[in-house]
This record gives sequence, structure tokens and C-alpha cells, in this order.
Amino acid sequence: MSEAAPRKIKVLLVDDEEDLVTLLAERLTKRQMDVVYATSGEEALTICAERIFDVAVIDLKMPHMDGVEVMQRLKVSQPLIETIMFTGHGTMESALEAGKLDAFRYVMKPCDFDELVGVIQAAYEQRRTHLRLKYEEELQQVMEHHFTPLDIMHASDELRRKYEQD
Amino acid sequence: MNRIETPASSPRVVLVGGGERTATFLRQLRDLDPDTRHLLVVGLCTEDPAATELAAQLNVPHVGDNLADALPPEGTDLIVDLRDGEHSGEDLEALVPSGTQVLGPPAVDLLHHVLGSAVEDRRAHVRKHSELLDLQAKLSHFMEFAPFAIYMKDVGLKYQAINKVGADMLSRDPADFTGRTDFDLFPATVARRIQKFEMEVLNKSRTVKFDGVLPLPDDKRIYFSATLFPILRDDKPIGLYGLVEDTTELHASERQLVRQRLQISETREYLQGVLKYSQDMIFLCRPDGALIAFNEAAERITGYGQDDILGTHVQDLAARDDELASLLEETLAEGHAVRYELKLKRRDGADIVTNLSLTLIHGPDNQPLEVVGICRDITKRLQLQENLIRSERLAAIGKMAAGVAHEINNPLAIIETVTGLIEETMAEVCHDLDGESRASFKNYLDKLLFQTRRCATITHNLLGFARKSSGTRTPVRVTELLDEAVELLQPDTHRLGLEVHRSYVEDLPSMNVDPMLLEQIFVNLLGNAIDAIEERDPAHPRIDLSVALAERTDDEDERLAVTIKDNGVGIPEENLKQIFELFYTSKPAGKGTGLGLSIVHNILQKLGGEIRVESDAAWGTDFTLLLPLQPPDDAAYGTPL
Repeated sequence: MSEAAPRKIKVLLVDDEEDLVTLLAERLTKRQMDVVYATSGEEALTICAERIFDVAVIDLKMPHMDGVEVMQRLKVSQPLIETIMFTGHGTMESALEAGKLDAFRYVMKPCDFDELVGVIQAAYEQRRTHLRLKYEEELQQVMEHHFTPLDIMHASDELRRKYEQD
Repeated sequence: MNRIETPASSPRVVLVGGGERTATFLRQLRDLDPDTRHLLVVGLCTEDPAATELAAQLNVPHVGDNLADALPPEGTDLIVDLRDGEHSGEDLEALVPSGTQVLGPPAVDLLHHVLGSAVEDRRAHVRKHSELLDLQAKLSHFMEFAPFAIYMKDVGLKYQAINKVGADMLSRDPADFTGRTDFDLFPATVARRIQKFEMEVLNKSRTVKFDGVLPLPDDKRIYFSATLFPILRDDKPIGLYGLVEDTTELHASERQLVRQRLQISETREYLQGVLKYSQDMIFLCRPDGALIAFNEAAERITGYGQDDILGTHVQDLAARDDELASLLEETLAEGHAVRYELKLKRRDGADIVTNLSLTLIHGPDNQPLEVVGICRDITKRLQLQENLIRSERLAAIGKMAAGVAHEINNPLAIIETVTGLIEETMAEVCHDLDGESRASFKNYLDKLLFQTRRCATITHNLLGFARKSSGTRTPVRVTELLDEAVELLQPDTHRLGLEVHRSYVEDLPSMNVDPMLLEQIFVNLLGNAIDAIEERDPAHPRIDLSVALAERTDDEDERLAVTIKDNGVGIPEENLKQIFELFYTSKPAGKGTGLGLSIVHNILQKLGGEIRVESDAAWGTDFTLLLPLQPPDDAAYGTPL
């Protein structure tokens, strides 16, 4: 990852509507994002076992496994992933807003594309902040428990990779 | 009885004579009571056989034909000379022994006279005696056969006699009474009461009447009516009579009569109560339709007082021609008729819907007598029913619309994305196109995007997205929210030169609600008011806002009444029922979605509130909201329509 090129946001799109999810992936890719899509919750979880994402945009209403479940299971394997719920259903709106679900935000379908891009970027910023805080917190612990500068260097390199600190 | 006996001290007399004078004397003697004769006739001297025979009947012995032949018996005190004719009687004095006196004709005449009057006295006495016996017979007959009890008491109030009826009445023998008082026969209280009246009879020598009850041994009782009167001698009471009539049966039938009267009056009172307190209108009319009775509920429901309506034809109450008249006809023919939704016209002209039944009442002669009408005002119920049906329909339509909207959102999202892609692709690859073509392509794509957004707005509204609810209830001041909503619409009010008048009651309680919900209601209603004013363009455009506590009945929770009144175009009456329907709009195409009032209605239903609307093309529209201070718990979250 070169210093000059801005880091690409790694986005996972999950929606059972294939046309929508492919077209959105295409469009987001044009906006310099690293996009992977899945057309079901199961597929999304399989992909997530292999790769780490910054942001997941998940359709709320899907057959077999709905968006809420997908989000909750994603958070188990990738606790700092930010999720954006893509919703076409009204009743979830308030519940999401009330903070009952641990999502970054909801976006109504259909949405203004630029708005969606903005929300993804904002979610990414939040993830960056969380990662940095986590990194600093654990680095502090490393400093307290490792005594040689070499040990600290190794540990901090590991942490930097873990928390994507450049 | 004719035997002449005289006390021993009476003078012993020998009669001398015969003929008329002797016969008269003997007859007088015969007719006299022995006690009053004062003479003992011991013999008769006569030649007259008729006199001798008469004397024999009186047991007077014949002692000789003349005095010369027969000496007067021993111990004769007096010789009475009864010979007829004029003579002195001195001839006899020579014949009798000394010491024997001779009563000559002058003295005999006197004696005749004395005896005659004595005889008269005796006859009168005998006559009286027999009259007395007669009276006694009649009286005892009367006592025995009179159909009521009769008793007689002395001044000591002891029974002297009682007839059989009286004894039977008390189930006793007549002999039980004699010499006893009422205290021996009845409880003291009863006896004392009788005593009081009887003493009055004796003390005041007058007739007394009284009624009473006598207890009998076997727990029965006799009701009686008594008349008491004194027995007087020389104006002094020596006792009293009592006439007693058994009135038990009379009393029973009287009591039954009283009971029946009581029952009748109770029934009447009950029926009057039913009429008075019935919430249903009850009226009576004659078969010709003239009203003759009208209860309080009828007055309340129709607005007519009894005085206005009685005597008029029942048809006058109906809102439409002939409707009641034909119902009356039907009733007269069938005996009963019902209309489930019959419109009556109130005195103030308003229509009321009623459930009305008429029933024919026949008189004792089986002729139609009266028609009774019972009528329930179901106006409110019908309105509630209508509201319920409308709400249910709105909910059903809303659900369906939400489903449709949801299904449309995905295709819309795809169209939007594709449009964006085309636009972006075009920007990258269509450099060879001339500027004009590119401008028109851009124009087409903008239109496509704009319309897609329009669709999105509709589906989002349908799904409740428009309500950016925070989902939290907080105590809010409704007046402040209303003012905020006005503030939001300030660009429009300013543009139209619209005046907003406020009349808020001070210190109103706050409402515990998600403020976003209320604000959306206010913005929608104010937006409509502004549109209506703009359409009419009045000289002085204005909106009147008022907030106060709603009038309430005891069982209602406290509610706020918020009124938003404009002087815009107003809503035609035929449209009033539709305004809350989904997609109903009177606004020009592209301006109104027909969702605003549906959303208001939906939110209010969630909050347990109500909305009322009055409108007239002449003055505009008046929306009144009734908002509960404590909406139900599940009202916090927004939901699709």
C-alpha cells in the first residue's frame, strides 16, 4: 500500500437483489472503493471468514437470514467492522435510530448515491478512529509489560498490522 | 183468678139484693185484684137466681132468699144493701145483730163508684202488663234473630245478656258472659278500650260508635263495628246495649282494595319513572298521528318541548316526507313496525338518525287506541361505526400500500443506480458528442433521476420514513412545538403575507410524547392551511391557532385541544369524508401526494388522539386535534401507514 495513493475503503455489499448489488458494486468501485458483494447472508459470512472489511452495507430484508442477523454475526468475527443497514422497511428505522441495534446508520432504499458514498466514508472514518483508539490502548499495555525496546518494537509492529495503523 | 180472697183483716161482708145493682157489684169485685178488694164477701142473700149464679162463680155462698129468712153468718161485719129501687135500707138494720153495720143505698153508690175506679185501674194495669210481655217477646225475638251481636250490660259493665250471634262471634256459650266483664274475656288492652267507650255511654248518656279488633284464641281476629247506647230510667242510665257487627270480611275486601289501589299507583309511578328516566325517546300518538305524550328523552333528542309538539302530527318529526306517516300506516295495519335508520329532524334543523319502532295499543273494545313509539338516537353510534370502518379501511389500504412501496423500492434503487451509472459512464466516454446532444442527454437523465426521487419520496412517506422519529418520549410543551412548526413554514407565510393569531391557554400541562410525531402533524396541517389560503387568495390571509384543555367527561383522560383554522378555500362537504384517505388530494398534480392527512390520521391513532374537521367554502377550514397527555406506551415508534 503506497503512501501516495489513498487507502481504498474495503466494502462488503449484501443484498439479495442481484441487479442492485452488482450495479452498486460497479458504481462504488468507480469511487475508488474495494468492493465485494454477496447476494445472501450465508455468502457474506463465508466471504468474511477469509477477508477483513472496513464497512458492510447490508440489506435488512433478505430470505433465510435477515440483515440484523448477518450484522450480529459479522460483528462477532470482526468486532470493529462498521455496518450500514440498507432498508426498505419502515418499522426498523426507529429501532435503529434508538440505538437498539449496533449499526452505524441506516440508509433508505432507494437512496441518493452520493449520500450513500458519504455515509460509507463517514463509517470508515469512525472505524479508523476506533482502530486508533484500540491500537493506542493496547500499545499502552505493551509498553507496560515489555521491557526491551526490541520487544516493544515487535509488539507494536504486530499491533499496527492488527489495527491497520500506517 | 176469680176466687175472691181477701186478707184476713178485711171486713167480712154479706151482700143483700139481686138484680142489676148486685150483678154490677159482683162483677166489679170479680175484676178486682184480691189485694185491692179490701172486702171479704162471705154470703149473698137474694131471690135472684142470676145473682146467685154469678156469686157462685166467685165462690160466694148463697145464704138465703132474704135477710129475714137467713141470719148473717157469724162474724159478719157489714151488710151491704144492694137491692134495686128507692129505699133507705133502714128495714135491714132492724134485722141484723148489733155490731153489724148496714151499708144503705147512698153509701153503696159511693162504694160502687170507688170499686168502679179500682176496677178501671186494675184493667189498665193488666193491659200494661200484657203490653210489656209483648215487648219482651219482641225484644227477645229481635235479639235472637237479628244478624248482629247484641249484648246488654249493667252500670258495672257486667254482661247481663248476649245473643247467640254475639256468643257465636266469640266462639263461646251465651251463659259464659253473664255477670262477667270484658277483662275476664279479652286481653287487658282490648278490654280497656271497650271500657273507655262504654263509660262514655254511661257518663254522657249518649250513643257511641267505634270500630275495633278482637283477638280470638286460635290466632284469628275479628274486625267489628259497634254501636253502644244507654238504657235510661228516669233519664238515668241503668245499663247499656251494644250492637256489634262483624266487619272482618268487609275489612279484608277493603284492605284488598287498598292494596290494589297501592299496586296501581305503584305501577303508575314505575311506568312514569320508566318514561322519565329512559334514555330512549318514548312518545304516544293517536291512530290519526296526533302526538299525545312525549317523554324527557324525546325532548332532549328532538329539541322540542312538550308544549310545542303535543297535538302536532308525528310526521312533523321526520326529516323526509311521509317516512313516519307510512310507518304509522304500516303499524295500524300490522300492529307493529320498525325502521332501523330513520332520520328525524331536530328543532334546530339538524338531522338525527334513529332506530324507531311503533306499536299499536288496542282499547278494551278492541279498537285501535294509541300508538306507542320508542326511538333510539343512533347518530353517534353510526358516526363511530363510520369512523371505525374508515380507520379499518385506512389501515388495510396502508398495509397494502406499504407492501407495494417496499416491493417498489428495490426496482427504484436499481433505476437510480443505473441512471447514475449512465451519467458517469457518459461523462467518461461520450467526448465525441456535441455539446447540445450532451446537454439534452444530461437533461433526460436529470428528469429520470428527478422522477425516481419523486417515487422514492412517495414510497418513503408510505413506509413512514418521513417521520424521523427519535423514538423517545419527553415532556413537551405543545404550544412550543406548534410555534416551531410555524417557524419552519415561515418562508411560505411570509410570501403570502399571512397573519398567524395565537390563543393559547396559559400554564397548560405538558404532553409526554415523541416531539417529532407532533411536529409532523403540525407541519402537515399548517402546510395544508397555507396551500388552501394560497388557492383562495383572501384579502386578509390568516391562520388561527388555539391550544386549551379539551372538555371532557368524568371517565375520560385529560386531553389537549389544538385548533388550526384557516380562511382558505375550504373543503366541499362531499369531500370531507375522503380527506384522510390515502392518495386523496385536492391539490394540483405533482404538488400533493395525498399522504399528509393520512399520516396525521395514522399518528393520531397511534397516540390515541382524535381529529375533527369543520369546513365551509365561506370561511375556510377548522381542524381540531384532541391529544391525550399520556399517549399509550407503544406509540413511541413510527410505523408505516
